[in-house]
Amino acid sequence: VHPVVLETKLGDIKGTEFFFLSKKIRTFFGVPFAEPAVEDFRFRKPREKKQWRGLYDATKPANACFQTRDNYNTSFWGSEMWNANTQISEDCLYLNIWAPADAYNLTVMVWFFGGGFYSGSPSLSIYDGKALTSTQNVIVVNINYRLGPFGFLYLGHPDAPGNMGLLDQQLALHWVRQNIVSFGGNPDKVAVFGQSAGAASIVAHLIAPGSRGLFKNAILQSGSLENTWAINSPFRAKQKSEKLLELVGCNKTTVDTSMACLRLVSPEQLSLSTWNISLTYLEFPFVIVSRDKHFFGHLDAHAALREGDFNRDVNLMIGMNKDEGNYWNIYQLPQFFDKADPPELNRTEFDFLIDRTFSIQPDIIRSAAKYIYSDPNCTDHGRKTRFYAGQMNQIVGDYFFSCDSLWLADQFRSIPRVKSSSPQRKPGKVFVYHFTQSSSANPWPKWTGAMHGYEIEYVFGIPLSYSKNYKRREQIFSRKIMQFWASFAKNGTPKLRVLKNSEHWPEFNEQNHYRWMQLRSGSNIRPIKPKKQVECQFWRRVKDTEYTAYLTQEYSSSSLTTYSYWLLLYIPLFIFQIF
Amino acid sequence: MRAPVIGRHLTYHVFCQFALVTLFIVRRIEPRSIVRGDHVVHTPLGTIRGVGQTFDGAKVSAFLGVPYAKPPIGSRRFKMAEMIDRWSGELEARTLAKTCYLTIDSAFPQFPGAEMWNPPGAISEDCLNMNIWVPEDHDGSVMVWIYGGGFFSGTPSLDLYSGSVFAAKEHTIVVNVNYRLGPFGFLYFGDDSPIQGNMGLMDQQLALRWVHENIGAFGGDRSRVTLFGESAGSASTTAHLFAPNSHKYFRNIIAKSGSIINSWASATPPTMLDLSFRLAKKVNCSSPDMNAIVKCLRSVPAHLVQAEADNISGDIGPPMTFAYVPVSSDANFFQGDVFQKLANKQFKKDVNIIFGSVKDEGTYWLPYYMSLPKYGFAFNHTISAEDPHNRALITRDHYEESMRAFMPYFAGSKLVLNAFMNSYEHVSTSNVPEERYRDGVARFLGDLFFTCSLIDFADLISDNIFGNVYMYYFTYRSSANPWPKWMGVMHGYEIEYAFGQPYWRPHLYDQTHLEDEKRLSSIIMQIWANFANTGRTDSFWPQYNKIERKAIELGETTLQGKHRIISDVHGGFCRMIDEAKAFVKQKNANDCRTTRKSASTEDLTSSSSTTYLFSIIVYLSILISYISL
Repeated sequence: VHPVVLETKLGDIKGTEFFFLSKKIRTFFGVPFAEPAVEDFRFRKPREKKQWRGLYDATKPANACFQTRDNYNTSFWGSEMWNANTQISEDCLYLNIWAPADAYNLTVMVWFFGGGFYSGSPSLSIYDGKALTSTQNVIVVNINYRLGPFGFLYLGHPDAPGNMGLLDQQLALHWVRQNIVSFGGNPDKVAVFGQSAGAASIVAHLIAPGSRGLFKNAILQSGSLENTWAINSPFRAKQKSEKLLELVGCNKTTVDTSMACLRLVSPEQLSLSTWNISLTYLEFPFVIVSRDKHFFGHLDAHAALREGDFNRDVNLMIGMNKDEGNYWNIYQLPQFFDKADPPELNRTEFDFLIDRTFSIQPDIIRSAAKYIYSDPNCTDHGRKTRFYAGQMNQIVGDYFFSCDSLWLADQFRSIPRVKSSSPQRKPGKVFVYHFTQSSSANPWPKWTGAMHGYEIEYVFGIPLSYSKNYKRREQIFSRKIMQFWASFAKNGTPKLRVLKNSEHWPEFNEQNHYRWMQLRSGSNIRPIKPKKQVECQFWRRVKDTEYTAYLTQEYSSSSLTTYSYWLLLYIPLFIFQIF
Repeated sequence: MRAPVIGRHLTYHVFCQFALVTLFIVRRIEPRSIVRGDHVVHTPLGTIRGVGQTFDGAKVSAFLGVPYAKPPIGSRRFKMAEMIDRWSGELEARTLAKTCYLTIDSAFPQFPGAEMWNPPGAISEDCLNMNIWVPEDHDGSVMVWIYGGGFFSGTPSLDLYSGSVFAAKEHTIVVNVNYRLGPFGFLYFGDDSPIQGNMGLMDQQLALRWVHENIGAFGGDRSRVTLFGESAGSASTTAHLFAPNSHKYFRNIIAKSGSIINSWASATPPTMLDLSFRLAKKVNCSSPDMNAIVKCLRSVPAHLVQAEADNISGDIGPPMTFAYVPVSSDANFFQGDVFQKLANKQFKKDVNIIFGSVKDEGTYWLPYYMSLPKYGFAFNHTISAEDPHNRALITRDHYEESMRAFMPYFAGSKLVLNAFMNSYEHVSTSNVPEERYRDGVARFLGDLFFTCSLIDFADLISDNIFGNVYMYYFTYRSSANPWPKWMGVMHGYEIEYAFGQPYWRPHLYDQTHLEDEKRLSSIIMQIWANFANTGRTDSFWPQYNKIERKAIELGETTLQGKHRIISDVHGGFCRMIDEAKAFVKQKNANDCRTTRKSASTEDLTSSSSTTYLFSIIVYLSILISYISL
């Protein structure tokens, strides 16, 4: 291990060079891409990093943006692995880069971490890009973005425009485009990949005019913008923001004075107060707002998704895990799911939990959900079974994650209903996977299966770095996963170097009967027939009604606009009368 | 000075007291009954001779088949009924009223459960008659029964509807009125055409007018008229709330298992127009000239009109859709749109109402509408009703197909289908899944077409009328009911208690239950008669309001003297149906909103241009003014 100095347009930068898996790679940690968004610049748009003088020391991993730690169990790796392992700071707009030492004109893979827009860090150990870089000869960039109120406070005001975190991401992508050449990357061969909130962010970038052309391929792992937890209407976002103002004692008469007050509140208090906002099941305090002035511009994110008004000359890989719901059930319904033995529910408990989880939905939708996810052969309503516990896992996974991902895959392939602002080009290819591998290093009980977030370690090759904890077949599996991801990043097609017939990944289209790729170790990497059709059709109708309600809210706002016009008409009249 | 003033007051007080006593004495002397021993009544229209009937020693004069309108035949077919002309001599009223042309139920020949609803006597187009029972010692109250039958069947002359027991035991006058049915009563070619629709309802209105003008001759008090009806008859009683010309003819209503807002009880003008033109075409009466169509239709033999109408009825829509029913908007009866009037609260408000439903409203319809193999409710009337074959043990697939059959009422929504299937599967507590599916379909059908619509109507009405509103829930299964026991307390099987059938046809009942059923019948007749007299029920029966939705249970608990009060009958299920309707409506509203939003955008653009132009003009004016100054 020895230092290496690199010249970039912004100034000289010092990283680290070392061998990993017989390959020499360089790392540049904590590289700044924006000026610190602190003090007067808190809650505002990010500002491009200026040139620096002297040598910048990029050997320490990037700070985590300000967030509250998950205190579920500080000695349990299952939850601790997602907590920040570096300093937590408001000054956090930095990124981590891994590049082969002899890099020239290489593909760049930019990672968007998840964490519900309230947590996460580019420096987590499971996001370590060294294995990916070593084995696939790609440059890996982990970007950071502001979280919680720091990144997503919305008051419809320049001082709190909303979606600041997304603007951070966008600025990072611009930075990559401008500077990755210095690290041996090709700015025209950028792929983005993200999980959960990171995946939802990528979908947001497909819509945002300012993100157009910044990447060619996108991998969405277990997340989509239309997920209920990922996006708020301006009304709801403002509601939460005003509640936060109240909680920290900053609800003044004007937004300006409120913002001035808010900038003086300590980040600890600000971050802690967010959890006193009342939230429903799997609702997060501060998330993307569907309409703002800077990031989405003239577009409404909800409407753009439905009308097909988003960038299509991008290839998409979209995926889901088999047991998405279990992770959330452990946190939200601990008395039923937080246990070492496989949980069991009876029909009555199952019905009760559906009512609890979907309490904001009308009764008719809860009832329909019970019907679809219950087994007609289970006639004994009092008997506890693993089946109902498993169905609770599936129902949470489907509604909050998988079905919206599949809908996006379908939507991406359909012809847009309105004229897209971009020139009409052939839409990119779509690939869908279903991840079903249970990790032997997973510290959660075995019954939790392929939980939300537990495909990441295979994507980043953790089985190769911590080989003691994994079986050999998992290491082989991880190499294949990395090959799929890197191949897609390079060519827009996931393909293994040594190809068996059964491991050919078909495109998600009518010709291939919309088949998915099952990803599991051993001989289980193969195309499978699509699943969840009945369930997702149902949830699509539910989303339709939610969208209708959203439009109703929006229409009410339009009335105010009309009122404004009339007001504008009367003022000159009044002036005229004075004269 | 003070003493004389006090004296004057005392004198005045004594005088008033005397006057009051005198008034009371005068009222008591007035005789109530003026029917002579030979059952002859002199009405303003002429003399009517009836027939004597005796029940338990009590004497009742029955005037059967009394005509109230000119015969609606020939050129009067499809016309609004006209008051009958005065006649000379005596009118013989000894034979039960004829039945109007109707759809005969031929699904289960010779089976009592079906045949009991078929007419016992002659069928005729000349049918605008009524039956009247006048007890010897009546109290002057009048109860007018309007029979049900979906507006396509029914007759006032069923044995079941005989008013003699009710009249004798409760000392009230009972009147059963006839009205035209099917195409004869409800054909519709538009408000500008010779056939303006709702002739059947206008028949009822004319009958009420007849009662209003002539019941005094029988000793009845025309200011104390109560309408009571079941199913389509009940829908008719509530329809009269919205008919301005009917308002002065009644003051109380007993509405059982039906209201005018039920989906089967009315149809929109375009729907009725389409069905009417279809009928015209079927009987070869198509023509570009409306008058030619009408003339042709009047010349077709009545039985052919009826036959073709029956053919059309079998072809339309999902289950529980009837072809020739009241049109919801007309110029004669409703004088407007009934739903609009409901929304605007334009209905008779000085009225007292009892609403009621039975526990298993839906089961009666299953053998008729859901007998196909894919639904699984076939009924074989040639074997015992309790035979396993007649237990309708359906599979889950049958359950799904049966529920799906009603989804056209919800725009074919799969989400709604799934929600209903989940909810109604748990209606029954049986351990046998097939029984739960069966009972689920039955309950759903009953809720959708009867119970929930009645509750919705009661909710709307009870907030807006000045009189009393009550609700009952009938839960006693008649031992005379020949249908399978799983069908429970069926639609229409509370009528026999209101008419005292256990008393005069005891052989129909299981002897071990006969005394109980007589007692229940007596209680119910007393409740009805008391309501007819006073507009109120006993104090143990709380008034209905839409917040608590209290109903009294009439059944075993009534016999035990317990007066059980039920809150929110079928509440959860009815709310789900309401949500489903709102859900379906929302989808349609979405399209509307899109259109509206586009228009709004256009308006904004227009406003913007206007604003800009106006601003320039204003500022130029200001500039000119400034220069002038």
